[in-house]
Amino acid sequence: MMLSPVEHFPVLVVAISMLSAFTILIAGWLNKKSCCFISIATILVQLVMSFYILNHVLTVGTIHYWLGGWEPPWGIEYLVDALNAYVLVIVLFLGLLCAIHAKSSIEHEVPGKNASFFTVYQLFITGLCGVTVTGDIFNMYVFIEILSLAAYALVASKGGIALRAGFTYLVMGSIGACFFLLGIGFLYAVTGSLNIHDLSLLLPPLYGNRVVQAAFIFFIVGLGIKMAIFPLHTWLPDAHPAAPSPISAMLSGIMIMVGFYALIRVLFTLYPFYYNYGLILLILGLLSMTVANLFAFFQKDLKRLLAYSSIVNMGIVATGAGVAAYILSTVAEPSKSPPEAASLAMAGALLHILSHGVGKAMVFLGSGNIHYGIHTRELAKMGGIGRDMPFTGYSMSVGLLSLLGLPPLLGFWSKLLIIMSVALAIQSVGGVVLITTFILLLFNVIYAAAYYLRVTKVLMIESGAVRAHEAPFPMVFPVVVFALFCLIGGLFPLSLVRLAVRASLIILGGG
Amino acid sequence: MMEWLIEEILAKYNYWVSIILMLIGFYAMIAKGNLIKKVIGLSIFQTAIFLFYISLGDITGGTEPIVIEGYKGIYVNPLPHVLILTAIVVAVATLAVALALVISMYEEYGTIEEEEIIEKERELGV
Repeated sequence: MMLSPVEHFPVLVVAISMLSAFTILIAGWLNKKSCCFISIATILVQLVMSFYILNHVLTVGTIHYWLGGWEPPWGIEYLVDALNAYVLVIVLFLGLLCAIHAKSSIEHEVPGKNASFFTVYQLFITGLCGVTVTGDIFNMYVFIEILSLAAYALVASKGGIALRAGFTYLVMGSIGACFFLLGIGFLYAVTGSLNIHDLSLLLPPLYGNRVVQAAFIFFIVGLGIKMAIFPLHTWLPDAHPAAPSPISAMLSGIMIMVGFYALIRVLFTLYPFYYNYGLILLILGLLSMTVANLFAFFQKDLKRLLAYSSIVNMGIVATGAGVAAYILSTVAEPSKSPPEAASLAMAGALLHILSHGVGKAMVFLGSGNIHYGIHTRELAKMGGIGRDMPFTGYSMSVGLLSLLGLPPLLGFWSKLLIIMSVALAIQSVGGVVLITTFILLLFNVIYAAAYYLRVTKVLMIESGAVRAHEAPFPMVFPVVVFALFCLIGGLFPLSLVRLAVRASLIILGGG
Repeated sequence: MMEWLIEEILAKYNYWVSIILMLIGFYAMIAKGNLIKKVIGLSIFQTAIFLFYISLGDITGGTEPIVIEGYKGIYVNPLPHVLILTAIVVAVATLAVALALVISMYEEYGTIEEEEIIEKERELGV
C-alpha cells in the first residue's frame, strides 16, 4: 500500500523527537550553547508536521499508519483523527514556546544543566506526542510512562524542596501507571486484543463481565492520578510549583490535559453505549473544581495558586466530558448522531483544553519572568511589578482574564460552550443532576474571578515591589505570543469552535 | 466450605499471589517513612502486576510458540511476556529515577527518613 508523505508524519513526529533527544545529549558534550537550538528546531519541524497532519485529517480523512506493515490487531497502529491532530497541535505549539522561554530561563533557574535539561525536555515532548498519535493501548501506556519519567526528573531538577515534590509525584504517578497497566491486562485477558479500535468492537457484548468492569475502574483511577482529579490531585500543588517555570507551564498547561485526552479516548471509544461513567466524571469534576477553588483563594505563592487553578480547570474539562456522557446515557436508543447538547459539551471541554493550556502556560511563564526580575514567588512582594515589566505584566493580565472567562478572550468561549450545553440539556433532559451541575458550574466560574482579579490587581495596580527590568527577549516573546493568541482566538473563535465540534463528533461516535 | 476454598483460592492461586504482593507493595509505599523502603514497595507493586501478566499467558501443557511441522498441540501465548519485557524496562527506568532522587535528597538533607526531611525543610523556612 502506497502512503502519501503526510501519512508518514505521525510516526516521524515521534521518531524525530526521540532521535533529537539523544543528539542533544551528544551535542551538549561538544557545545553547551547548541542544545536549546537543536531542541527548538526539532519542535518547530514537529509543529509544521502536525499542521500538515491536521490539514490532511480534516480534508482527506483519518490517517492509519501500521508500524512495520503489520496489520492491526497484530501490529501497532498509529491512528490520527481530528481529535488526536487537534491535541497534537496544541502540545507542540505550547512545547515550542516553552522551549524558547527555557533558552534564557534555564540559565537563571537551573544553571549549568543546559544539556541534560533539554535532553529530558525533548523526551517529555516525545512522550506527549506519542500518547496523542498512538492507536494501541499498550503503546499508550509506554508513552505515558516516557512522559511521566521525564516529568519526574524535570520537576526535581531545581533540587532542594523540589526533590521531595518530585519523589512524591513519582510514587503517585507510578501507582497510576500500574493501575492503567493492570486495566490493560484485564481487557487483554478477556478479548486478546490491544488495538483501541479493535477493542471497541470486541467489548460491547462483554459489558456485563466483571473483569471488564474492574478494568474500567482501574482506568479511571489510574488516569485520574495522571490528570490530577480530586481526590487524586494531592501531588499536583507540590510538584507543579517546584519545577522550573517553562516546565510548570508544560505540566499544568498540557500534560494533565494529555492525561484527560487518554481518559476520554479510553472511556468513550472502548466503552461506547456504556455511559454510566458520565455521572462519575461529572461528580469528580464538580468536586475538584469546588475544592480546588476554595484552596486557590488562600494561596500566597503565585505558582501554587496557579497550580490549584489547574485542578479547577481540570474539573471544568472533566465536567464537560461528564455532561456529554450523561446526556448520551439518557438517550434511549443509541443513534448515529449524538444529541446537540452532548457534542456541544464535549466541544466545550476540548476547546477548554486549548484556552486553558494557552492561558495557564502563559501565566506560568510570566511568573518565571517575574522571578527573573525580583527573585520571588510571593504575591505580597509583587505589587506593581507589571508596570516595571510592561510586556510581561500586560500579557499576564490578558492571560488571567482569559482564564477567568472574560469576553472577548478565548477562555470565555470554552466556558460559555460548556455552560450553554448544560442549559440546553436541562431543557431537553432535565433532572436534578444537571440543575446542580449548572448551579455549581456558574458558582465556580464566578468564584474563580475573585483570585484571578486579585492577582491582576497585585500585578498592575498595587505598589511595593522592588524596581526591576524587563526579562530578556526569549522570555518575553512566548508570553506576548500567547497573549495575542488569546486575544485573536477570542475575537475570531468560529474556526476554533468548528474544529472542536468536529473533534467532539469523532469521540462521541457521530463523525 | 472446602469446595469454595479449592475453587476460589487454590485453583486461582496465581491471581491471589499477585494480589497479595500488590497489597504488600502498596502498604510499604503508604506506611513506611524510609524512602528506600518506599522504593522497594513500588518495585514489589510493579512486579506483582508483571506476575499477573506472565501467569495470564501460560497454558498447562502448552509449548514454546515456535511453529513445528506436524505439531498438533497448543502453544503458550507469547504476547503478554513481550509486553512485560517492555514494562520491565519501564520499571527499571522508574527505579533509576527514584533512586537518583533519594540519593540527591540524602546529599541535601543527610537523611532518608521522610519525617526528618520535612522537619529540616521547616527549619530552612520553605
